[in-house]
Amino acid sequence: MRFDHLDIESMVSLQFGELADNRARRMKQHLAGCSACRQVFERLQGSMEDGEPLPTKPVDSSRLLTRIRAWDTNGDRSGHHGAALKGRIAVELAPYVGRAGADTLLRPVQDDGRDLLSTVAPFLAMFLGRRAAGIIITRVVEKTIVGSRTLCES
Amino acid sequence: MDQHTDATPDSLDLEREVAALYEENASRLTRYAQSLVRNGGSGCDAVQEVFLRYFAERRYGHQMQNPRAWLYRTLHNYLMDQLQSPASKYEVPADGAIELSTQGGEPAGSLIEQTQTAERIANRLTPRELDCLRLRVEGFSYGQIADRLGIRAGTVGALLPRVYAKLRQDVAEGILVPEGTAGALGLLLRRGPAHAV
Repeated sequence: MRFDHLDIESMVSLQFGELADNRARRMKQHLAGCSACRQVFERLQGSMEDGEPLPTKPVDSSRLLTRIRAWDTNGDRSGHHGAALKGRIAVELAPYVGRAGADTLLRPVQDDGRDLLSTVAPFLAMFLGRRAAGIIITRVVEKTIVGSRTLCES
Repeated sequence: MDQHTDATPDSLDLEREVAALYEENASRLTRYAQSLVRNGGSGCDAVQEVFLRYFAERRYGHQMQNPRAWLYRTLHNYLMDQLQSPASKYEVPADGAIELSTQGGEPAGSLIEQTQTAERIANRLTPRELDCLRLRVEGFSYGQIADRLGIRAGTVGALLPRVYAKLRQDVAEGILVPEGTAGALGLLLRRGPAHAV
C-alpha cells in the first residue's frame, strides 16, 4: 500500500517556493487531480493571505515566552532528565526499535537530555523515513516531556 | 530550500529563536487554526501550544530541517487530535466537518489509508495478539499486560515477538509501509481493545 496524498509540510514548502522544480511540478500535477489535497492546500494558501482581520489576535511573543518559562520552570521537572527520562523515552520507542534497541540507542545520551532527540531522530529516520521519524518524535515528546501540562493550565 | 536549525542552543538563544519564529508566523498559523476551528480564542491557544512543543523539542536537541513547515504540520495534527477527542474544547466549523471525517492528523487525507492499514494489522493478528500490542504500545510491562489480560507473563513474552515478526514480514513484503504502520498503530492505540476494531 502506498500513500499518494501530499503531506502538510510539503504543501507549506511548495507554497513558499522551497521545493526543487521537479518535485514542485509533480505536486502541482497531484493537486490538479486530487480534490482532498487541493482542499487542504487552498486552506493553507488562504491562511497565508492577508484577508479579513483575525477574530482573535495572537498574543505577543513576550507573553508567549513568559508562559513558556513558567511551563519550563514550574511543575515537576524531576522526571525530565537522567535515567527517569531515558526510561520513559525507551518505553515509547520500544514498539519501533525494541526495548533493547531503545536502551542501546539512549545509552550515550547526556543526563540533561540536550542531545536526546539529535541522537534518536537520525536513527529513526534511517529505518522509518524522515517524515515518520518526525511524527514519532513529536508523539514521544508529547507523551514523555510535554505531557498533560499545557500552557493554558500553567 | 530547507532551513537548518542549530544544534541545541542555550536558553537565551532558544528564547530568541522561538520569539523570532513566533513573530514571523503566529498570525498566519492563527489564521490557519481559525480556519479549522470555529472558536477563535482556541485557535490562538493551539498556536501557543505548538510553540511550546517547538521549544520542548529544540530544548532536547531536535534539529528541524524546516521549522515553518514543522509548525504547520504540528498545528494541524494538534487540532485534528483535539477535534477527535471526546473532551475537545474546539468546535469544527460546518465546512470543516466533512474534511475532518476524511483526514487524519498527518499526511493530508491519510486517515482512510491509516484505517485500512489498521484493519490489515487487526486482521493479521489474533485478538489476543492485538491486545498485547496495544497495551505494549501504551507502555505496559509484560507483567502488567499479563495481569490485565489474565494470562501468564511468559505467554506475553511469546506473543509479542510473534506480533513483531508478522509486522516486519508484512513491511518486507510491501503489504505495509513503515510510515503507514506507525500511523496505524497510533490509530489502533486510540481505538482501544481489539474487539472494537
